[in-house]
Amino acid sequence: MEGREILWNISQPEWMYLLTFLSVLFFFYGFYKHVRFWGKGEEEGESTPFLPRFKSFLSQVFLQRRILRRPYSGLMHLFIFWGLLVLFLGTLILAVQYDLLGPLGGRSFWHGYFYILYSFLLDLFGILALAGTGMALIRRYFLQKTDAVSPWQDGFALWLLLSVLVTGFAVESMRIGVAGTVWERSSFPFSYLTGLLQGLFSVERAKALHLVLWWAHLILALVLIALIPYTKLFHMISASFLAISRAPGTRSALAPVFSEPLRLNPDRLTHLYRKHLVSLDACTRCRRCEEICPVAGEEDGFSPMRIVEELRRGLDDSNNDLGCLNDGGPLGKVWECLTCRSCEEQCPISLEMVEKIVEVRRHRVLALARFPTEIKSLFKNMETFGDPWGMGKSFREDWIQEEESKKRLRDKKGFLVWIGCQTAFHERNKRVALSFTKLLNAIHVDYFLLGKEEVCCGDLARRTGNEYLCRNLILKNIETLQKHGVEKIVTLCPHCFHILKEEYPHWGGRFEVMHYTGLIEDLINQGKLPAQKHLDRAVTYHDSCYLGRYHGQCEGPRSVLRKILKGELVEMEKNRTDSLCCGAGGGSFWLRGNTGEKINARRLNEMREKKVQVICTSCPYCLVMFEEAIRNKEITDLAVIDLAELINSAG
Amino acid sequence: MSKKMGKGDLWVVVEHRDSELLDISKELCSQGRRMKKSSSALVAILFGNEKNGLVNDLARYGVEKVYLTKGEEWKSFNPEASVTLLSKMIFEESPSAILFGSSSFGNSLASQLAIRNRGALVTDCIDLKEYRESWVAVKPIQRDKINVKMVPASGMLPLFTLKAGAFEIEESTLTKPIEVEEIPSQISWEEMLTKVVGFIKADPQSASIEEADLIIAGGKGVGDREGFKFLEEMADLLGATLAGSRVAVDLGWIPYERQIGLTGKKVTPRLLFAIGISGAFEFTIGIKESKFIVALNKDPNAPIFKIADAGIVGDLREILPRLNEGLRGIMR
Repeated sequence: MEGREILWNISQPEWMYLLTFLSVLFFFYGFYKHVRFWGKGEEEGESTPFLPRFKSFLSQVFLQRRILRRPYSGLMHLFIFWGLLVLFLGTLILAVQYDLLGPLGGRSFWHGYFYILYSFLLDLFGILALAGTGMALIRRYFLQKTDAVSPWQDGFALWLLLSVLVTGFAVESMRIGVAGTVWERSSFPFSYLTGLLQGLFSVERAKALHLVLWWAHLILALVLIALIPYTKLFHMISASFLAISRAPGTRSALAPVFSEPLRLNPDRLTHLYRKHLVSLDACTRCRRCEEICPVAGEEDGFSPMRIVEELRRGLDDSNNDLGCLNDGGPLGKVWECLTCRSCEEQCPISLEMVEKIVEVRRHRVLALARFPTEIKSLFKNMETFGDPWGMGKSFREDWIQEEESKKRLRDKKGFLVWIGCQTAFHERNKRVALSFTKLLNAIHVDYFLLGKEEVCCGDLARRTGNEYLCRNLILKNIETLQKHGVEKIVTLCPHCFHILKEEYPHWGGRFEVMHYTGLIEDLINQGKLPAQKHLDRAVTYHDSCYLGRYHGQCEGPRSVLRKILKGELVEMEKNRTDSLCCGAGGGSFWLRGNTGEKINARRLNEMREKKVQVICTSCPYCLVMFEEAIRNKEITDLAVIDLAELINSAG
Repeated sequence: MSKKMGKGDLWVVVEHRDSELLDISKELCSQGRRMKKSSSALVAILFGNEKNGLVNDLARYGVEKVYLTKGEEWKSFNPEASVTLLSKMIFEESPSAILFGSSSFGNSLASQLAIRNRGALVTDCIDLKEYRESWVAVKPIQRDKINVKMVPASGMLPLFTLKAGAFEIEESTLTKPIEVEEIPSQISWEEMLTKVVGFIKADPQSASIEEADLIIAGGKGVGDREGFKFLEEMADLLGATLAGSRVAVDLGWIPYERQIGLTGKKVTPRLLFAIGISGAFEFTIGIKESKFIVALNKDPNAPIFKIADAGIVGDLREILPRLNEGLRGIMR
């Protein structure tokens, strides 16, 4: 008969219930503390449909999509996750059978094929869990650099897990060795183990040992469960909550936080939602963000992970109600963030670091007035002149040279071409605007320009934490756009593109927004814009963060390039959504920043190795950053050219 | 005192340095002449022992009477003593109004006098016009975003401090003989709580680049720290302030406080030398308010020449030593 006696060889099982009760109590107390912490956050106003969230939950949690991007740690985590999940469910089934169906006198399903399948699956997943835990221990003690190892509590959790699994297998072996059926003895993995044990112990001693091991296994397992909320194991719950609380595919539009009236408190961060706090709880300190971050890497330098850790610590301090005022340490470095979102792209639980960093900046700017001195003039410029350069609107139309384009200022037909401050005022970028409008003029596309009526889109103000200023700029722009009945906007800058598309709707500005590369692609595909393979140079395309990573628009510009290149497009090692930031995002262009090797220079090194002749960009910031790096390295055989200029060069 | 109000003379408290009248004081005199009633005189108060040349200068800008301080103690400026003296003088002579320059000198005297003599003080005026029996002053507030009009209360002594550059300097067409008189009021120096011991002249090289009138800025083209020595020498000779581009700062040739440009400071000198600076937009945005720019660069196509008022194409290591040599001859 396939089956087994539950609680074989165990006397006084009532202790088991008491211990389980204590463990669960302890677990729920810890859980409650987390929930109380989450409750400190604000309730989110808008909710999104459940089904898409549920789908992404399934794919993130059960398929572990993001974690599997790294093979070793991905597989390791997958093994532990599925191993523990099945073992837990198995134990749950056992409890249901014994404590629920048994006393009710119901029929037992604890036999036959069910039991065989049950035993097999539990053994199999037990081994997977064991393998995963082993891999984790090897990784922790042999593969990682010593300075990258997380605190001892994390190691303790691993050892605990290992001991639970090992005692579990040992208990089972003892039972099979003494009372198991013939098929059990020959089943994997016990045939070998029981054989070994039978040779070593007499039946009496095996029974005694089984008893000891059984209690040890039980206590260790209960300790493990009780400790879940107190160790990083809690991410199994918080990360699941996070996965289901979030709509998939929202490309980091910063959560709208500006409330009327504006609530500011120097002692606390005022605009953190519950999901933000859940996500702080879900970080497992895996360091993937730190490894990928273009500005992290220096000891005591900027690190997304440490900012999350510090926020978690600071916010949890009950004496300090959501206050995070500590300037020394990780939070003092928030100004170094480029908002490039590489960290979020890598994070296994898609933690929104940028949002949190911007929230800290907001607090510093709005409530404390504590920020780098360079930013002061930036804010003042945007406030007084409506542009970050402090040039003023009388210079905004300087780039317009063609008579045809000048007409577009008066004649408001077709879609709007949004120029943006970086393009309208910067000498180099003015040429890009000129090239792009020349393209449009040549094929007689209906478009128009706002000229002096445009003010800064607000991206810079928003990312540097000046929510108040950004709101004013946005409202001013929306008013202008609505006045002219604008429906479709084509932007030259990916930063303007992102904020106009994703963040203006919050303030009531709903427009169809496109980046100009998308328009060029469409025009070529429709046969309106002629494209011929005219360019015979080694060209690489550099993805801008706000176009590639934020919006996944990587293939469009490449397909355009392929149409005009005679040769192959050269790809950098980090490309598309993994592209490296040029170093200008998130206000960094206007900040002094770190003095180590510049990020733009680092990117350039790779291009030099690949013998690139032309860096094609589609962002005014990237363009200027690479030009600066080239100038500083005194390189003569490498040029940065915008996509619009490259197409225009066909003549 | 109030009875005499408006009938007394109009006073200007003038400032001078190195035996020369400051521009702001010329503005004060010119404005004073425009404001005063024909029945009253324009009186200048001159602190310090120097009068050579200054008196003639004052006459040129229409001052009719100069009060001079008497005694060695006035050689250096003592705010406390000056306020005490002026306060006594006001009590004795009842001027119709007093104008000061909006400098730390003028503002500190004016504010203290306003308290001691119940004066109606308006600081940082950019315009002053006659208004009924008195004057209306215009002053910028809110970081120069808004101008407000202010009228001193009647019966109070009006005190104004005037912003430099806001008032036209006009020489007087009439050549009246100027009356020079020593201040009759006396103060007792023993009762003064503070005493000025001496002055330390600011080193132009350590002065803030935002304040500097003459700047020598170096960039990547300077080559190395050694190259910057030429610039330092030149700055020494000219009494100029040293500055640099971002690259020069990143390379450690010059400290960050001296960085010009987007991530540094915006400067407004009367003369700026841009040496070995190619003139990227991020740099030039910081110098566009300069009055006169001289560029020195190897590359004749460097964009800096587009915004420079004068340019030299060449190697700074050849040019600067010769330039310094020449300067040494002139300056000594």
